[in-house]
Amino acid sequence: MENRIRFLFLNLPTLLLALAALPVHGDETIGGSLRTEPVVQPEIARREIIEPDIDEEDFEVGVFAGFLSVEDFGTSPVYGARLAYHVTESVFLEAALGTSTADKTSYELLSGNVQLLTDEERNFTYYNLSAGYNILPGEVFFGRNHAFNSQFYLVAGVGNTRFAGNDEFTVNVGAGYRLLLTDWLTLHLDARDHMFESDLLGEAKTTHNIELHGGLTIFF
Amino acid sequence: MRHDRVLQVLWLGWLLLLPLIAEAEEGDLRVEVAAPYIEMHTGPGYVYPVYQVAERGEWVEVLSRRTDWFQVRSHRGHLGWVHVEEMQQTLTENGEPLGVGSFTLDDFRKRNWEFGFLGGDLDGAAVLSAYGGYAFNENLSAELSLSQAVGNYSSEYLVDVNLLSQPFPTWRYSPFFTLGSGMINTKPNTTLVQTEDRTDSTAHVGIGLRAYMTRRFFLRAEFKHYTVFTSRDDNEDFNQWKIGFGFFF
Repeated sequence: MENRIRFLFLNLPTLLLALAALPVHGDETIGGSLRTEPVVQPEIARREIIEPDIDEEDFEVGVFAGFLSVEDFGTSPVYGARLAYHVTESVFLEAALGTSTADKTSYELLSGNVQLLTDEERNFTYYNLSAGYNILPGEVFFGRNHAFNSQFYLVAGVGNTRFAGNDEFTVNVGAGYRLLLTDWLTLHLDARDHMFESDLLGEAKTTHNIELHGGLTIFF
Repeated sequence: MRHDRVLQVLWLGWLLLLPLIAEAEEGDLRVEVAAPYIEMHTGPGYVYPVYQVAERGEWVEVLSRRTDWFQVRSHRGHLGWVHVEEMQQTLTENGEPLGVGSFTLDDFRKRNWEFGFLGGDLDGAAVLSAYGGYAFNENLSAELSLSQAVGNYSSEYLVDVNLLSQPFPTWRYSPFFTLGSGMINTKPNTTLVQTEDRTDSTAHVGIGLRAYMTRRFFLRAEFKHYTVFTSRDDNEDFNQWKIGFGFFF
């Protein structure tokens, strides 16, 4: 009996509190449990939004071969490689590397045995970084069924030329023609003037070294 | 024996090329046109004429992307180039808009790798350099750069490793501070009196600015002060400023 009374008194406040709280909370918990446990479980898989994996082809890499006229040193074959990045539909950036072997000056040819440069010094190697702008885009038609896109471009840049054992800061300007044989294979025709200061033949002057070349590149 | 070597090289080359070929064949992402129509140009540029359209509800196959242009194949088999703004009005097979866009300032902020070319002046000599960098987070990156300076009397080759801190990565014009060290190799010109090549170690400190332009492309300008630890009694000092452009990936 005593136990029961003690139980009642000790637990009454708790009981009252619980009872007082019940009506207020009661509605919510019932409503809440209804909301949290839907009758029908929707079978929707979570959608994964993935950026589509589309092949981007903004780079162009290739090789070229042609002729380089080294000022005072005749004309000789040149070959090299280029890598371009197309920033927009009009603008591209290009890095190129080319090498050639300079011929003899007319003085060396006429005087017989005179050698102004050693064989190693006749190596003409250049690299440059240029920016290009596509102008006059067009289409070229071969027969009734084939049309190829084409562009002329203007290009200018800076680089370095190693000739006669010296490094020379070189500015290049030029123009070219690009014919897209397929969506990824491109034919180039290019004309460049590589200009640098040289005092090789006594007086310092700006030499113009004109290069004409053709090349093939692929887009990737 | 030699034949074997050639065959090995060919086989290796083929194995390396195989994923590329597989990828090329795989690329048949199909999208449904949600705009009234999208215009297909003959080439990747606004200058090329529109020669086909794909109408609302038509499915086209996306083959490749060049700058902001996508090459697509219509269900009739016509190939054409569609601008990114029109591609954004197409839906994938899940019925969601095609998540393509131009690169934005936000992508620039989240870049991991960057590469660039700079040109400028090193104590009166023209300098050209190429660099690559990796960003550990938005603020801190490490870089490796190779430079060549061409002067009247000598040419110098520089290799530098530097850490770069960018305190305001969200800014379009974002300044940075850099600290690093490297090597310098000086090669006198052959037309002058013969002096020997020499290689010394260097340390440098610098400030600069990156300016986001468009797509994956930004401009960068920097000024660095170098100290060369020579084997002679005095150390040498020189300044270098450069300006150029970079890409990020």
